[in-house]
Amino acid sequence: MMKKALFIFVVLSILFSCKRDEDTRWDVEILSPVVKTRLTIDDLVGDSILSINPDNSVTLDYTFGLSPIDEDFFFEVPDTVLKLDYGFPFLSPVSLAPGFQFISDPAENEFNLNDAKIEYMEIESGKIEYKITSEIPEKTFYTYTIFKTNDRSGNVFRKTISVPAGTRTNPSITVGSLNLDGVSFDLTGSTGTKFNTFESEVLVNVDPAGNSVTVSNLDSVFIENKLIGIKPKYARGYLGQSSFSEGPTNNKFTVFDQIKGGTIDIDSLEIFTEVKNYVGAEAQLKLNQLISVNSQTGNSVALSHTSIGNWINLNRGTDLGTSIFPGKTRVDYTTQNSNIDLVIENLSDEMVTQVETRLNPLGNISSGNDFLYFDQVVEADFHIKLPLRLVANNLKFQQKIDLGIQEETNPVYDALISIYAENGFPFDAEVQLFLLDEWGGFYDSLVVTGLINSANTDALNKVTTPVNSVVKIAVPENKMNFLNTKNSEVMLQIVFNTNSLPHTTIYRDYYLDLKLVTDMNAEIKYR
Amino acid sequence: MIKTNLLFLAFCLVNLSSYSQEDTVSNETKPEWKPSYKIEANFEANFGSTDLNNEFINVLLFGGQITPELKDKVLNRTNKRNRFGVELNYGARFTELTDTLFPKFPEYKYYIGFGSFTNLSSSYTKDLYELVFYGNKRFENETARLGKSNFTSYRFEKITFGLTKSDETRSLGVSLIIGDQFSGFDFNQADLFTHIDGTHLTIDYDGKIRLSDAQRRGFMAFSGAGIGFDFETLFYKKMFRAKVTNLGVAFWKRNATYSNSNNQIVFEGVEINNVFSTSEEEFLNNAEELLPEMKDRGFVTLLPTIVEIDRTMNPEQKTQPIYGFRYKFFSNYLPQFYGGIQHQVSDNFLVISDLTWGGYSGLRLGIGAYYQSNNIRAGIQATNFSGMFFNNGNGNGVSAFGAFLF
Repeated sequence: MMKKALFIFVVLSILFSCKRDEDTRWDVEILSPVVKTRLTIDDLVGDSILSINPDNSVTLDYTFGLSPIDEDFFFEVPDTVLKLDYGFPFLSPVSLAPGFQFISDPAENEFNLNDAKIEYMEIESGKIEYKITSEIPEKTFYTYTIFKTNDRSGNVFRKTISVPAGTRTNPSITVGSLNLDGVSFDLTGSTGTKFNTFESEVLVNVDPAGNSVTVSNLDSVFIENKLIGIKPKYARGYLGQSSFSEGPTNNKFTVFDQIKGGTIDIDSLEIFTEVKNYVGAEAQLKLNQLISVNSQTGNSVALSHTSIGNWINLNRGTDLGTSIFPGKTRVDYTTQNSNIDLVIENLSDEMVTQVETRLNPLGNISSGNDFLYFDQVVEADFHIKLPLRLVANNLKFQQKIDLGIQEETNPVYDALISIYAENGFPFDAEVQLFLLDEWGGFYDSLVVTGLINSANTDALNKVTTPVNSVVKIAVPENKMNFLNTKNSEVMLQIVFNTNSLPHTTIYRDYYLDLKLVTDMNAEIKYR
Repeated sequence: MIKTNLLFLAFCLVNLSSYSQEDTVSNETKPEWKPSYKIEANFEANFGSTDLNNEFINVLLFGGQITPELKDKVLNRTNKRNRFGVELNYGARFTELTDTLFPKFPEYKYYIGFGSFTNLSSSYTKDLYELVFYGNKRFENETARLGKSNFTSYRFEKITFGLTKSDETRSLGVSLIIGDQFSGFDFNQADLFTHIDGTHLTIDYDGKIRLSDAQRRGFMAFSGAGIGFDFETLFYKKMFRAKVTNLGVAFWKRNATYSNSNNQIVFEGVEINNVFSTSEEEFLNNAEELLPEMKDRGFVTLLPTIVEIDRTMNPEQKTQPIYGFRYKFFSNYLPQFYGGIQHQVSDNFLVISDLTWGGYSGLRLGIGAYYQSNNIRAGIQATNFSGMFFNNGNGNGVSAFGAFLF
């Protein structure tokens, strides 16, 4: 027994002694490329659209939409309630045979569309909510018809609802809804000369398969219909007069998103506001303000131009059947008629706009021939066509990069990072790398030596050959510890300066090749 | 390390039996008593290296810091080609000693066994050692020759049915192999050139990678399956015992991956599209593309077959020589030879001592003790006794055996 116990003890002890208490680890020196990338003008200029000129130079073609105009501004169809209380006119009880139609109630109903006079309307979505209260002691059938309508199958809108039997003391109540999606309305009424009017009819029958019922003047049927949430798709007629005001609105302006400082001097530019009116009615638009805001510097520059604060007339669009030819109006901003160069050179990241719009400012001058497709109304775009021919002074591009490292997983003690650059741009680039604190603010910088030198250029300041440079960044152990424990995000900043010749032209094939090589002391470990 | 060594020593000194290199005294059972069944268990663990010393191996296997001094010490012992290996095998066997399933062969009894085999082995160049433990900076403007190197990790279990002759002179078993895990990296050529300043790394690579299901690696995982045979016989006037263990194949089909490529890679960094809008995901995805393409494809491996030839014991001699040979295929194993002496201390005790060379280590001293009574046999051997006490030793090992007859 003693021997067995000793044997078990020894075997267990051996197994236990083999258990790992700590990682196996050792230090290595690694010299290796890590990342390579090519920067072109597409990478430097946000999500702008670049267009290429015949000489391969680049124009920044950026469109910025002004505040969208709410389609409800043109007209809104309010919820409409239609009620019918029907009492039998018989003083003494009368027997109604099965199938007997005891209500036939045609009616003309009108949408309240203010001063608009709509003759025809197609419904995008909407419904009729009904509530039928019956004191008839037999099942009845309720048929609701809207004349001069077409549903998606081309039929007149007609629905029949079965209503259970009720009593005076305990009437039956039936509720539900009827879908109006895709239904078109002729709103000229029964005579064809009215506006905003539709003709409907309610029929109520005793169940043909049921029994005879006895009713008197003490029995009633109450019918309530509500047209709810009518959202038109298309309307024709006179759209009425209305006005709309929007703003001031802060609009994100992404064209200079990654530029965080410095100045540029622009050689030439073409900037204009283009307004397209797809509504078949005259309109007016007024841009009360357009302010360029640079949130980095706090600078704001308000556009100064004769159009600011004045109504711009918008001609009506033309319905071509399959498409609409909009009424177009264009307002050009030049350095002669405005301060647009200052607005752009402010390198803004926000544009503050305030817009007013009016419909049919002159009234019903089309004799009721306005039209409106609700999915395409008025578009107002601010266009920038900026040939990339500029002088850059300390133009700073910044990008926050999360290295995604943690103390437990980052094996690197310290590193010397070498950036090998082949620069095909005609400007110098200074690389800076900043450590960020836990709140994203600047904490410290890493020592960077060297400059990415400008490419060689000819007399016209066009690149002839790229130039190689090396930039070295030291990450000592204390700063690596900071990255491990505080915040692994760094801010990469590249500062560009064009060479001394004025207005350097940027061509599409310019590039900057970067290769990042590390010489690092690291720990390998495993468990 | 000291703890482990002391335990080994205590185990050896206090153990109650002696045991030769293998179970060679099975014919010592007293004839007057006839047992009906036998249950056996065995355990074998060893690790060793031709260049890594014990201090280094211990840190490698059990944790700790591999200091620059330790790395340098090992580097001085490192040759052009080096080996390192770990074996951990254990098993159990039940033998019916009186009945037979085959009446026509009444002298053959049957047995049912279970075994587990773990083998991690590698063969590597001096440059690979330097690259792994020092980094590539010391190879700046030089080529590190990393081939022919090999790393294999193999783990499987087996369930055996076999027949053994009553006098234990011959046995044959067939096994179902249950593959848990296989990782094989074979590099015929792997030259790494680190350019000046580390601007490029050029890798000339010709290699094969075979990996079993990464998600299914546990005990009895059935990542693979196969068949194996065991055979054992006495020969040459019963003076020698030949034993073959795990002769067979395993088929790795379930989620196995395979790569066999030969190409030159010039690595200039992981390419990213736009440094201003990159992500960790993009970096990792692009980095993954640089690795050899692994195809979803099964593969077949031969089992790490063990061949042993030992001199059997003469029961008439109190003191006699022992010697033998062991080889393990497909495991970066050097042919292993041992020679020594055994001495019968009493009717129940036997002690042995031997010198061994090969396997995963160089020359080493082993000692063992063996005990035998009517119904119990047990033995323990420190197969690398010298390695337990010298940091410059290059391995360690123990094997243990126990049998209960009833």
